[in-house]
Order: sequence, then structure tokens, then C-alpha cells
Amino acid sequence: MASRRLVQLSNEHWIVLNIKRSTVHHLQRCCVHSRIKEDLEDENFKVLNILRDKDVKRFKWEKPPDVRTLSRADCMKTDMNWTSVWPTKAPFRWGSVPLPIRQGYRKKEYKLSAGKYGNAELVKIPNFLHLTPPHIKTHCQAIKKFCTEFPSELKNREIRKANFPLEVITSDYVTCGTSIRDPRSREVTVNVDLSVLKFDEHSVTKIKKLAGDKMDEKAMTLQLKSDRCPVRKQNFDFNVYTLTALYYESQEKEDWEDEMEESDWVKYQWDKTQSKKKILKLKHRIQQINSGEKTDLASSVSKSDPSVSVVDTEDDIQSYKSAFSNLKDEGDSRETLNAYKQSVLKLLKL
Amino acid sequence: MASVIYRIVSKQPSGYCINSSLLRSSSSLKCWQRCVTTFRTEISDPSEHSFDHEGQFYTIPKKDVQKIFMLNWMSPHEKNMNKMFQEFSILIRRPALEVMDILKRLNYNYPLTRFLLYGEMNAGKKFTMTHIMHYCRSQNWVLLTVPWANEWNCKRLDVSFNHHKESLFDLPVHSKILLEDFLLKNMSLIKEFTTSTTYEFSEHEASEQGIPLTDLISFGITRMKFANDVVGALLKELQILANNDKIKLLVTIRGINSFWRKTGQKKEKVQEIHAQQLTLVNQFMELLQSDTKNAVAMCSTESWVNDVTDRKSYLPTELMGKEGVDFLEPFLPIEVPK
Repeated sequence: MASRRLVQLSNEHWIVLNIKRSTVHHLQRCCVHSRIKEDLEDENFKVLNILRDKDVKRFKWEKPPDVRTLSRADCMKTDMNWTSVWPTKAPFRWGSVPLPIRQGYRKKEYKLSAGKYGNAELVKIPNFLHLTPPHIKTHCQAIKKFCTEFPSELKNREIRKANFPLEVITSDYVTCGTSIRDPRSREVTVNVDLSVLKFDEHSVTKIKKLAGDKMDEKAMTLQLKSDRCPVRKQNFDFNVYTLTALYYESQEKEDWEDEMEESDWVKYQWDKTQSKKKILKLKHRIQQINSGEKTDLASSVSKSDPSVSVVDTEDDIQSYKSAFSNLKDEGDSRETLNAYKQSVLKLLKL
Repeated sequence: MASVIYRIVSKQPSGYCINSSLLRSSSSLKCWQRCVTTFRTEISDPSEHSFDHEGQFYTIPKKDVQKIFMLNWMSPHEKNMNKMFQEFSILIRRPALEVMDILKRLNYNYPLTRFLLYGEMNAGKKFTMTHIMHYCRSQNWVLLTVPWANEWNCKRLDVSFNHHKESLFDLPVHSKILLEDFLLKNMSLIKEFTTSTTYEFSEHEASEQGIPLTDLISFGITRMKFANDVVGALLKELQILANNDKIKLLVTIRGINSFWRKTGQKKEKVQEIHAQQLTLVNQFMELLQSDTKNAVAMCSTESWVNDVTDRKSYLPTELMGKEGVDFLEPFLPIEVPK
């Protein structure tokens, strides 16, 4: 029983008086006079000794030893073998981990997260303390006797590429939980080196159009990714299927492909354009004028087909063709435009 | 080095000039050596300019300025400068000299030659054009100028349907401005010429064969309703005259890449008008594609034509698009460096 009282002292200060009352004290006060009596009446009566015996030790509530002061983690040496401390997958034991880990919410920014002692959050999350590098090393050492060496010839990248044109990339995901499955592991990437397959000009453009972004034209590689099927094997089969479909479709030529319009051309083909007609007509006119033919505008158009009299393998027309196709293919830059200008000047005989 | 030049230039009254190009032109060392002593030439006749004069300023005589440039070509800023300094000077630059060199050597019996000036914004395309126009004027060519082709796209003035073709749209006010401009510039040169055929503008109005060209043009100016048709008639007449070796024609179009864009013009019931639907544009395109002798077309692609956000590209194929390049070729691309 304890109580606090605000007591006013003589000098008008208030103090908090902590009054602890106990049964013993009360008795003590009561039995003061019996003590006096004890001295008087000594021999007949054994006096009841209610007073506290100083010799007898009272039971004191001893605090149990603080667990935190001496956990296993504190006694660990720095060069100890971790694999023996944590041999298998186990829930997080704060006493065995010698790391000053903190996990949890901070009420205020300057306050720290909760420590590892009794931290339930650290137990909830998965830990990989059973898969540290020393662990992996021992695992590998155990398995090594069943393995053969990687062939030294295949260490060279070019030889690998030449001998194995197909590259299959899959990913495995590790987790520490009740289930080892991860839905992300069904994705399969197949990289194909197309230089081992037969392609002619038409099929190259066709497969480029069919594959689109997946194909790298300069390196001649095809990258097929698939995660549309639920199982990894199915995704791999699907990739192989797309590869066969692309290859065989590109080898075939449909009838309607000849109707390809100018906007679809991969490379600018000058021979099939309006521009060719224009240039040949111009050239024809120039030749007529140079040779001094007296022709009216009206008659010259109807007279002869320009392409007949003008040979299109002539030098200036060829240079114009290459300059213009360059301009169209590569876009305009100073060099292409300059080249174009030179070819036009040549055409106009300047 | 730069500071010295600036000091010299600012002391003398000079017209509108591009200082930076002095340093960056290809023969900059030569220019620098010369520029310390003389940066002006007295030769005001452009036909006598040669590569020796590169990097120097020359003044355009006053009467030429009044006649050719005052009305439509110069911007308000330039007009102010002209008023203040009482002279108009241009820097002689390599692109202009290149074009003039080609013009001197060109065989004018060949069909229409097309030049395409391109360059970054404010590189000086307009002033190269001014120089070349002055040169052509000194050779007594007929000048047909379109000072800013995008005006047809942007300036919202009346749009009316064409009488002859239902799908095309007329721009009467713009046509009138064009005709006025043409008359002012070439009054003296076209005095003698007459129309060769009759032009029917509507059921009642027609111009007969044999009337002077000036009459035709003034008819177009007074009767705005038929101004666009008059422009078409004028272009045809000019073609015929050029083919008969009577005149030499210089067509100048600033901002030709506006021919292949959407306009901002609107007509009731019609939502958006594309530039290809304007008669003016069609008439000029016909002229550019024709096989007329004695004619030269000078066009420029301008980044200003695009919206404010789109102004980074300045190379011709980007600005004109595929249609433009296919239409204009074969053209001579001439770069105007900054």
C-alpha cells in the first residue's frame, strides 16, 4: 500500500510525501510498549518477538539475469563458422544473429526503428541466413564430385555462337516461404542467330516486316520472348513455333505482295517511281534542246516516249538515282543534300 | 577578334546585317583580313559581285528599294532601319553568290530550274533571296514574289468557293495583295504585253484576247471576286511569254513547306481546309511543275511555318515531307549556314 500526499511544510513549501504503509510498521507502532515490558517480565513468558529480526534474511525478489546481456550473438567470435550456427532454413532468432538489425515503424523521424530483440516483424519476413556464400560453397563442394568440367573450346563466344545458334534464357526465382513456385519463372526468351538460315533479298525484307521490333537487321538476330503460356515448357515450344512460322512464311511469296505501295518500301527504289519518269522526260528535253530540234512544247510531249530514246544507264541519271535514293533512305543531312545538288547540276550540264 | 569587328561595324551606319556570319563563313580568314580595312564595297550592281566580294556589304540603290522591296517584302523592323539610316545594305554571302553563279551559267532553254534554300531559323535565307532578287531585277527579269506563303494558311480572310472547280477554295484578298504587289514591281516591264487568249471568269465577265496585261491585273484588283482567277490567268500568261523568249521569270516563294499543311482557314460547313485545296496553291504548283523556259523558281523552306512546338527541324525533307520532295524534285538544295 502506497499513497502520495501533497503535504505542506512549515516553511510553506509543498512536498510530495510518499507514504508507504505496511502491516509490519503498524504492528511495530502498536507493540512498542510490549518491548518495554519484555525487559521487566523475562523468565516466565517467552516474549513474542514480533519485531523484525535483522539476522533472518528476508526473501528479496531478485531480478532474473538479463537475457540481453549474454545472448549467443554476443559471445560469437568474428571468425566462427556461420554454417554451423544456422545450418538450415529457420525462423529468425534474434539471439543467434550478431547483426545490429532494426525493423519497424518510426513514430518520429529522429527516433529509431525497433531493434531485433523480440521483433515480430523480423520473424515474419523471409530470411536467407541459411543460404549465405559459405553455405553455397559447401553445397557446391558436396555436388562437385558429380560434375564434369565446362569444355574449354566453348569458352570462346564466337565458337559458341557458331555452334549453338539458338540461345534459350529462363529465370528461376528463389523465395523463402511456404511455396517454392513463382509465376515469373514461366517466361522464356529464345535468341536466334539468323545467319545460319537461308535468306534471299525478298525473304529478308519480309521477315523484317513480319518480326518488326524483335529482329535486329544488322546483327541478323531474332529475339523471341513469351510468357503467355502457364508452363515454361509450353512457352519454349511456342517460341520455336513462331520461329518456324516466321522462317517459312518469309520464304513464300504471295501474289498480293507485288502490289506493295511506295509508303511500304523498306528501301527507296527509284526505278518504280514517278521521279524516274520526270527525270527521263527532263533529260529527253535537254537532249532535244541541245541537239537543236525545233519542237513546240505540245508536240514534244506526244511525239516520242522519253524512256525509249533516253537510255537510263547513262552516267548522270545513275548518279542522280543514287543521290536521290540516298537522300530518301538516310534522311537529309549536309552530305546527302550536297551530293544531290552535285548530281542535279550534272544533269543540267553545269 | 569578335569584339574588334563589332566596334568597327557599329561606328558606321549600316543596314540590317548578320554579324556572326562574318566569322563563320567558309572563307572567314580572307574576310577577316579584308574586313579590317574595307567592309563595304561601292559596287551596287549585283551582277558584278563575285567571290572576291564575299563578306562585304553593299547598298541597294534607293529607287530599287522603293520599287521592289518596300511594299511586301521587308518586315517592319527593316523598314524602320531603312527610314533611320536612309539606306539598305546587305551582306554578300556565299549562298547568294553560288545561286547567281549558277544563274549566269544556266542554259535558259531548259525547263524550269528550282532552287531550294534551307537553313536554320534566322540564318539569312530571306536576305539571300533579296540579293538574288536585286540581281535579277538588274538583269530586267520579271519578279513574281510570294513574300510569305503561310499567310494563305493562317490569315483568316474571306474564303469562297471556286466557280470552276467545286472542290477548291479561293482566297480573294490574298490574291488581290499578290496582284497589287506584282503590278508595282513589274510595271515597267510588262507594259507592252497583251493577253493571248480569252479568259472567262464567269458567265457574264470575261476578258478578251489582246488586252494589255496591266488591264487584266487592275481588273483583278478592282473586282476582288475574280482576283484568284486573274492570278491563274496571269500565271498562264507569264508562262506563255517566257516560252516565247519575251521575258525571264523569277518566282520567289518563301516558306514553300506551307503548301503541304493544313490551313487555319474555315468556311461554313467545311471543317478543315488543307493547303492543297486552295486555288492559289494549286496554281503555283502548276507553275512550278511546268516546263517553261527562261524561268527560275527560288523557294525556301522555313521552320517558322510550323507550330511553335515543332520548330526544331530545319532540313528540307523533314519540313516538306515526302509529298513536297517528290513534287519539287529535281531541285538544287542550297544551304544557308548560320
